[in-house]
Amino acid sequence: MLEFKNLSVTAGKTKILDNINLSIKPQSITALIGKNAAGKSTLLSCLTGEVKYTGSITLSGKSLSAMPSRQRAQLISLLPQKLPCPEISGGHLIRLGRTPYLDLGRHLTQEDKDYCRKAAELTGATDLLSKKLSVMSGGERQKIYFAMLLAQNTPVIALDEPTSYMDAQHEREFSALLSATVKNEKKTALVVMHDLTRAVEIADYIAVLKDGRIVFYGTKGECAESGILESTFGVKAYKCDGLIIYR
Amino acid sequence: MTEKSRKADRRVTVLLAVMLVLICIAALAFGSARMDLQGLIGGILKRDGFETESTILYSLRLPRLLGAILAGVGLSCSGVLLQAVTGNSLASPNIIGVNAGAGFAVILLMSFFPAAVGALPFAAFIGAFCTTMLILFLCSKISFSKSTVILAGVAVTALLNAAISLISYSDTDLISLYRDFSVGGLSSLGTERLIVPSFLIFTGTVAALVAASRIDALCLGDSIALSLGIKVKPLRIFCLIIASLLAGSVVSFAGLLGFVGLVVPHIAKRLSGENSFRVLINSSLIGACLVTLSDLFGRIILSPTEVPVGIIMSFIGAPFLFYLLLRRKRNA
Repeated sequence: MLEFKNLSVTAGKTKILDNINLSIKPQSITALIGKNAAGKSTLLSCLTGEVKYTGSITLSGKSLSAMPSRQRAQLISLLPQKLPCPEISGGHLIRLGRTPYLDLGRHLTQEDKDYCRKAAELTGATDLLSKKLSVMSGGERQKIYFAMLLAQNTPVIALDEPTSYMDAQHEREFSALLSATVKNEKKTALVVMHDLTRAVEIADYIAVLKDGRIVFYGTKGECAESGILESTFGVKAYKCDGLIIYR
Repeated sequence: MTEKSRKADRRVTVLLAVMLVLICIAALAFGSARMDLQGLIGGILKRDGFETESTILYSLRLPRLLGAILAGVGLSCSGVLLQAVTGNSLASPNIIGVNAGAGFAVILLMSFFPAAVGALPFAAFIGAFCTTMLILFLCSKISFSKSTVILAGVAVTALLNAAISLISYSDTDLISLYRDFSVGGLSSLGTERLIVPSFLIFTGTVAALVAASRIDALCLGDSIALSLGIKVKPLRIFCLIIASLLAGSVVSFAGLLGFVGLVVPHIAKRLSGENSFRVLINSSLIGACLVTLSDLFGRIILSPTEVPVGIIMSFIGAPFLFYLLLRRKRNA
């Protein structure tokens, strides 16, 4: 189980995250939602140690900050919102997903290559393997980066708005792929989403972040009953399990 | 990467290695005194009747060839590391203050101790390396982001260049001496001056090759590199130190050879490969070829006068880069 305990992040005098306590249920998709500047991306950045924090983050009882970086990278992978587009091919990017498993000076083993091939096939990115990232569309880039994440093969995956550049069809396909991956590969996913309808549709659990604090964590049903989305976002209707919920 | 493109990459590396061997043979055979193959082999093996060839080869051409290869390898690898670490395709040893630091140390030494000509290589290396350390120190007070490293480098370089101009402002002899150093060259290079640089360049290149798989991930930005288990800050510092060590070692015996560190990594990336290991290998080979060939041309085109290797390098390398860029545009 991934647990955030008393997690706080400050920048100067501003508290970006304020005493976050959150236990993410394993083998499920948790949608992390909140208004702009609520601290969603910062919370994900804490997972890789990019942002300095007080409090603790533990995975199966082990503190992430005490783990060697490679060991942590074999357990948690993160895809940030902004995806760079260097002059490398999709195939090379997927192979970089195996970096945490390579000792210094070592090259990919057959097992590593199998993981890469499987990740490309699962995401339907085989036709992007020789294409340069710099000439890919935003949606293609998100797809190939997700393949890299799958090649990293970690039990926990964190995604920051993974479908922001995808059209409706690709977004649906991606949501189905994410659900299938979590179910079949027994992974835990923490996904920052801005589309409430999509979040309620694909997530098992919803975490709502407001002004740096977790104000709700529960199942979709509990979320619908609580009226938290209405009070936080001021929405009047959203879709949940095929039903349109009006307030 | 498909098996086909991997084979193509290997072919490019082999081709470059063969090209380097041929250029080396030409560099040993041609000069103000030309040698045929028999004379070359006889001179190298120190056979009886080939004493003159042997003397020319061992006292002049072999040290010069070794110097050219070392300069090419050192500057190219330094450029690859710096472009990877800063994510800036215009990065070269200049941006970590190597040239300005070495130049400042040289002009300072020449200004206060004009007789200490023998200490110039040592001063150049120390100046280059200390300037990089100063830039790293400044970054440690701010941050180790790509932009901070570049801006700190620009600021320190500007300061040192101003100091160089100030010291040499009214001393024309000093300006002349400094110009020779800043153009760079490999003439009158002895084997003894190459012992320490060759050790440092070999060590630095091996260290860069060992870390290549980690360096690859840096192009994905800090967030993803961290997610892949890369210790971004220590790796960035490591690469900057190795890059400075490599370029500083070259400056110590060849002066300020520009161009190689900036352009050769681009040529290597265009010709083949995308992983840093392959780019480092190919850059080393291309760098060695370019400097050796330029030095050879510099020795023979206006013989017996020598044209400095840096000038020739720009004439050969720049059109080649244009060609690669045009070819890339046609293929896009």
